[in-house]
Amino acid sequence: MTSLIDVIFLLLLFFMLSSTFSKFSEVELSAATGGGLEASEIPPLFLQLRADDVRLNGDAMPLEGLAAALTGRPEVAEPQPLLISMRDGITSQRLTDLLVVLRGVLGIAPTVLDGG
Amino acid sequence: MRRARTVSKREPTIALINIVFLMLVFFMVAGTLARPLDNDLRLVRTADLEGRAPPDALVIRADGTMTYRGEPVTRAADYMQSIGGAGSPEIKLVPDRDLPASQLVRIARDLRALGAGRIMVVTERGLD
Repeated sequence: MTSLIDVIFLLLLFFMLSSTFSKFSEVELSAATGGGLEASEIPPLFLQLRADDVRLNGDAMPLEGLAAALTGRPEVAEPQPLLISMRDGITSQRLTDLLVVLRGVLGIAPTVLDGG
Repeated sequence: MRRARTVSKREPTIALINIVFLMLVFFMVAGTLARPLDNDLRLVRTADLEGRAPPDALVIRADGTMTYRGEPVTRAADYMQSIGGAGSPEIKLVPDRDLPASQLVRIARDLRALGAGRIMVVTERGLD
């Protein structure tokens, strides 16, 4: 009886110490590939990511309104390039928020430009 | 009378085992076995994404320093070598949420230049 509870206690300790309760997920970061962009005839969209809003082709809007603004574009045959530039002071959290929003929009090919 | 007292003196081993067994089952079912990440790393928080297995990937701290399995990594090329060389189809990065995004993009570009196919950013899924 004593050895049984010893073993169970050891197992309990092992699982308590080695398991994690965090839930992970992942999103693709489509960064610049070094000059693979010029092949398309479709004019690219230009998005500037700022600390408190985004500018799509110069129009400022909150991040929540971006999906609606991108969905209202005219239809194109192939994915339209979307170039993302960043101001200074943008954190990974902010960039990931943007990538999550863009992930739900069909028909665009986002590319994050470096050096912001 | 005397017999009742001797029964009450016995240690309740069965009840103890029951409780410990319940806790064991709970931790086995609810937890996920994973290699621990950096202790002071605060992951990017997201919602509305599907869950993934816990990552075993390149950790980038808020100041831009990289670690992999607790060992510091100075260049992205070293990491690519340690996980089996170029041509990996998918590379996962675990950035701190306060890491400047330009540094994250620069590291991703370096990995891409070294032959990585897709760069995935691992985040922590919110409860909402």
